[in-house]
Amino acid sequence: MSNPSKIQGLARWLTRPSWLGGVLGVVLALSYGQFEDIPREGAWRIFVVLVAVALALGLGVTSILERRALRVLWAVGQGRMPSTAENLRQALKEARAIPERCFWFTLLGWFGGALLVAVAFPLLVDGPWLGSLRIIQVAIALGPLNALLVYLLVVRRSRAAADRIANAGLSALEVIEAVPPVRQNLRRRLLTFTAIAVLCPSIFILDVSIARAVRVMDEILEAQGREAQEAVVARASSEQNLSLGLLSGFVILLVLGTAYAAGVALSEPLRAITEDATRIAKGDLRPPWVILAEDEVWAAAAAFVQMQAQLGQALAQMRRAGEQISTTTEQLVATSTEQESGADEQSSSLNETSATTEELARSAQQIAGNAESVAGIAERTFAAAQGGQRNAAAFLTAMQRMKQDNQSIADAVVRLNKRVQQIGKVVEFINEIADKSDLLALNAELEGTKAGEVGRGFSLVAAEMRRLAENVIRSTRTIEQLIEEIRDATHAAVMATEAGLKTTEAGTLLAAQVDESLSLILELARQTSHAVRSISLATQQQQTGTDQLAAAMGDILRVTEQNAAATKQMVAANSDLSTLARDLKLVVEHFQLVGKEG
Amino acid sequence: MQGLRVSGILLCHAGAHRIAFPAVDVAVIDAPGLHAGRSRSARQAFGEPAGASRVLLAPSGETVGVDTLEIDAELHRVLPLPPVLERVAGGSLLGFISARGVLWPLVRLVEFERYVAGASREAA
Repeated sequence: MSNPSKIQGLARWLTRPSWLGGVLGVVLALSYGQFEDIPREGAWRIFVVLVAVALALGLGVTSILERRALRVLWAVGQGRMPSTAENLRQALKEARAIPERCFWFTLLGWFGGALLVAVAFPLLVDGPWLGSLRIIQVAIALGPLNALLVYLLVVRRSRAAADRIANAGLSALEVIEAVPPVRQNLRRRLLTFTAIAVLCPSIFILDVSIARAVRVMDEILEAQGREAQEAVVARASSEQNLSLGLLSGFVILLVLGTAYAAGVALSEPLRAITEDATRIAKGDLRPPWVILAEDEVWAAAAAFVQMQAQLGQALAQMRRAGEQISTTTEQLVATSTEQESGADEQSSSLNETSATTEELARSAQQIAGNAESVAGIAERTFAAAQGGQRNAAAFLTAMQRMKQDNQSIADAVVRLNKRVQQIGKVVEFINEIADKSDLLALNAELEGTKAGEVGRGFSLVAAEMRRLAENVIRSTRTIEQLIEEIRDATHAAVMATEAGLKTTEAGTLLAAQVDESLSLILELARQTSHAVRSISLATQQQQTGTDQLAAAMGDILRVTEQNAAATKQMVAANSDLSTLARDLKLVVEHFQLVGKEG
Repeated sequence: MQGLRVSGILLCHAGAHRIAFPAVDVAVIDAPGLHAGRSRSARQAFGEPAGASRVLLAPSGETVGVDTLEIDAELHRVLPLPPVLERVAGGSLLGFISARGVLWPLVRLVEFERYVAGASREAA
């Protein structure tokens, strides 16, 4: 059996056993006719022509019917229809249905041809109608057997053709969906097969035996004498035994071949299923491929393919799930471990925090007391700042008055200085007059001296005048010294007054700054007093909140300890889960998923 | 010169030094401001810086400045000079007189002014 490489010509290849079966059956029938000498002498030519015509008509009708039954496959093979999935499914259905149709077409050809020959042959040769009955009987004996042989030959080709069509673009599940295993006909089919395999040879042998017995009896009756009759018996027992044995052997061989073909047709898918199951059992899970069969075996094969696909999907999902579970479990273990240590740290921290909170509560109580004291101090500070501001304002007024007084003193000293300078000029003028008087007195005394005794009195007067002038000069010098001292004193007074003015200005500025600062201090003290009041109130609230916090911290501590215990249990559970995930992974890895998953 | 008597003497001081001029040699006693830059100072004769509060003006126009002066109208005997001192002070020294309990060198005003002028030029 040679498989076509493509869909093209697949339909012709698929139905070719019909021709073979038909020709084989006709050859067998003609051999039987010649052996049994059904057509009389001289009618063989007409008989052969009739058989040939019947064979041609049978093959023609069968060919037309088969072409109609494989309409889409023919069209796709010849390229008249595209190889779409829908067409391929339809072609697949046709290929899967063709064996049974070939059976019926062959049987129809046999019965139709036999009926044609049985009706036409007596009319043409003017023979007895008993021969027609024997022709019908031969057709009944060989037709089903021949049709069964054709069926078994076509059914294997049908599987190969379906596999080829599926390879053209259909998955295993699509093949199963296109040809669902709905008919459960194995029992009926085996019954039919057994009936054909048993009854047809029996009818054939019965026919041969009866015909042979009748013919021998007729010859015995026609024979004259005992010797002639014994001769007929001896001829009947010796003649044609070989031919009859060959014919019977040929029929038996045909039956055995049919049985072998049936066994092969039945065992092939079962063996393939067994091999696949064994392979899967060993862990080699390949992508499912369809094992084509018929009836219950096809249902089993389809279920096996679906199971294989589902198993592949399940294993792939289990592998992914196992890997995900493994990863997640490892993360859970790590997280749980961190959480465990974190819970311990949290418990420890909460212990410390609880102690700190209690201490905080005590501190808050002290702070509340201190805040109250600070509030009192702030109020006293505010009052003191108010007094300080009043004093600073008074000080500033005094400084401004002092500045005005100093300015008046400075003006007076300047006026005094001017007067002293005027006095100095007057004294200088007096001094010049005294000096000139002294000089004049000297010259007068000189002249008196030079006059001798006459000028003595004049000299005395001049000397007296000179002494007066010198006294004036000495007095004016004393006055000049006093004026100088007064000038120095007034200069020092001016300098001191200017310094005092500057100091007073600085003091005034400082007093203004002090006043401003004290105003700021007063405002700050007022704000401080207000803030301290707020702090005191907030501290009292804080004290209440801290007491509640301490109580809550105790509750949190208890819950945290419970959480820590639960976390330890979770860590143990996660470890167990991780072990289970590893086991699951090992189990899944036992299966080797080859090709596309699912 | 022995037994010479003189009356009318100007007892002057030039710095810490005493010096006396005959009243007849002095025409006028002036203030220094009237002879600024033209009068000689008696201090220069003693090697001191110039300076004066009164200027003695000779009838021939010579001037000599002194710090103080008094006019003594008493008669004084002039003590003679030893010969070794005759040419001292340019020959202006007449001798010494005793007045107010101390000795005073008596010099002629004109010669003394010339002597001071010469001493000033030498010093310059």
